[in-house]
Amino acid sequence: MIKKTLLLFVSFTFHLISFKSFSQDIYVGKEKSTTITFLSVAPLEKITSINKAAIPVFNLSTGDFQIRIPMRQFEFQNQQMKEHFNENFVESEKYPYCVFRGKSNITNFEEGKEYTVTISGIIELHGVKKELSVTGQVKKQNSSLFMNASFDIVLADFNIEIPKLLSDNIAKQVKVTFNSELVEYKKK
Amino acid sequence: MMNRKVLSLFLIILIFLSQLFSQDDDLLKLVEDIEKSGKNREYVFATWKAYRLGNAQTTETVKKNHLEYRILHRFGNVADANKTLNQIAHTAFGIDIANDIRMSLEYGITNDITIALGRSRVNELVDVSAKWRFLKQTTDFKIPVSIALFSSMGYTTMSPDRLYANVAVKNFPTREAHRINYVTQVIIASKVNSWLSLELLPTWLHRNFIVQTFNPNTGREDGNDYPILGIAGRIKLSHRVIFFADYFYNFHPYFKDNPNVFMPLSVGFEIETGGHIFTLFFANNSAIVENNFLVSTTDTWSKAQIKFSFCISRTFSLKKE
Repeated sequence: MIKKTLLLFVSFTFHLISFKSFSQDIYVGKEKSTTITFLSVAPLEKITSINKAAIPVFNLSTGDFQIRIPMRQFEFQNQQMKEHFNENFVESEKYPYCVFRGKSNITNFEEGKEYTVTISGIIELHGVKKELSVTGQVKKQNSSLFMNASFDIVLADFNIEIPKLLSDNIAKQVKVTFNSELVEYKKK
Repeated sequence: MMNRKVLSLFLIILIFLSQLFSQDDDLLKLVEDIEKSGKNREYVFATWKAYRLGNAQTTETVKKNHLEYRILHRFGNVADANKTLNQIAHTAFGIDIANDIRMSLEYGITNDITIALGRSRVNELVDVSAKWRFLKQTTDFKIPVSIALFSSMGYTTMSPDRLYANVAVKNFPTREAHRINYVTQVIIASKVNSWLSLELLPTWLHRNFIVQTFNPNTGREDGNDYPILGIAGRIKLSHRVIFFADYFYNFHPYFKDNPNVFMPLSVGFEIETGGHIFTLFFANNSAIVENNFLVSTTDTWSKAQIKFSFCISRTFSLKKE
């Protein structure tokens, strides 16, 4: 009987310990610190867009990095572009989020040092899943993780069609940038 | 005793494993609460593709600092039960006839207020109008509809001879006000889901001047004011092609059992090519603008008196960023 109680106690303690380590190693995007932009440069038109509504999560104990971007929160020079973007290109009613789940090759970050990190995983955009590997910078400062990266996305890879009439207005390949400050996750 | 030990060990391993697996859990669940709390009310967009369907106005406005140019054309009857096939064929099934031609400019003062100026062939009508969308539907349906107010004033530039052509005895003075009529509409629309949108258009039409006319069946006299209800809907076939229909019912007693006037119905497609929107549809009304067609629709679908019509619109961004 004592043995059994002891065992239960031990297993319970393990439970607690592992839970503690779990929450300490997780970093999440600080409020309003995450910006995702994309830039399309075509002969007739240059289109920029910015999204500040995504919150990345980075688990340093496993290297998992995940982010979900609400497509409707991309802001443009004008409302017309935003509507076309949502309605005709990314079809955000059908596919409201772009999700990226990846693993980082580095998980130990020393205070004050900058690292070049590659995160590889699967991106899901416009209902299409594709492998994506992004290389960017991560710096730990005042116990925050500052991350930035930029990479290119080919729209055709994600079944986003550009009509021939607009081929001079919208680039086939857009440049995406990512900037964020992540802080330790505190369970409420 | 041995059995118990094994069981306990098994329990521990199980807990460990569950712990391991839970670490692989969806990290995004952690931020869901933060996402939700920071989320503002989201408004529905693109309930309709264009400023107008066939006959009906939509709750869509022209975006701020954008100018829209629209060209509308209404051909002649494709068929007509009152005419022989030969007669219709001589007009190339209506293609030779231009029942109405309208050009208009719409400008977005804000994203929700648009002013417009148009000119139509029917009645040589110049119209100025404004549309104000004062309520916007939200994606969570807490606000289930968008509501816009549309108001238009039509001014006919016809010569006095034509203006008073059907007056039996002209024993009243010629007045500028006789040329004017007004349409006021409340447009209540809901984007039910991504492919279906519906709207109701309670409408009031007022004409300053009418020629005395009676309904030959009931003897009811025509009036200056018409209460009208419009209904319209669209189905999105693909993200570039839309099927739509709209209908206006006139509640004035003059319209009941009247063999001379009918309710306008239009059915057609919208095709977006990026920048341009083409509207291709069939309608029984000859006139394009509401100030005219709500009054003077003399053809009916039941006699196959339908006309092909198209609209080309182009939007320009006036402000360069």
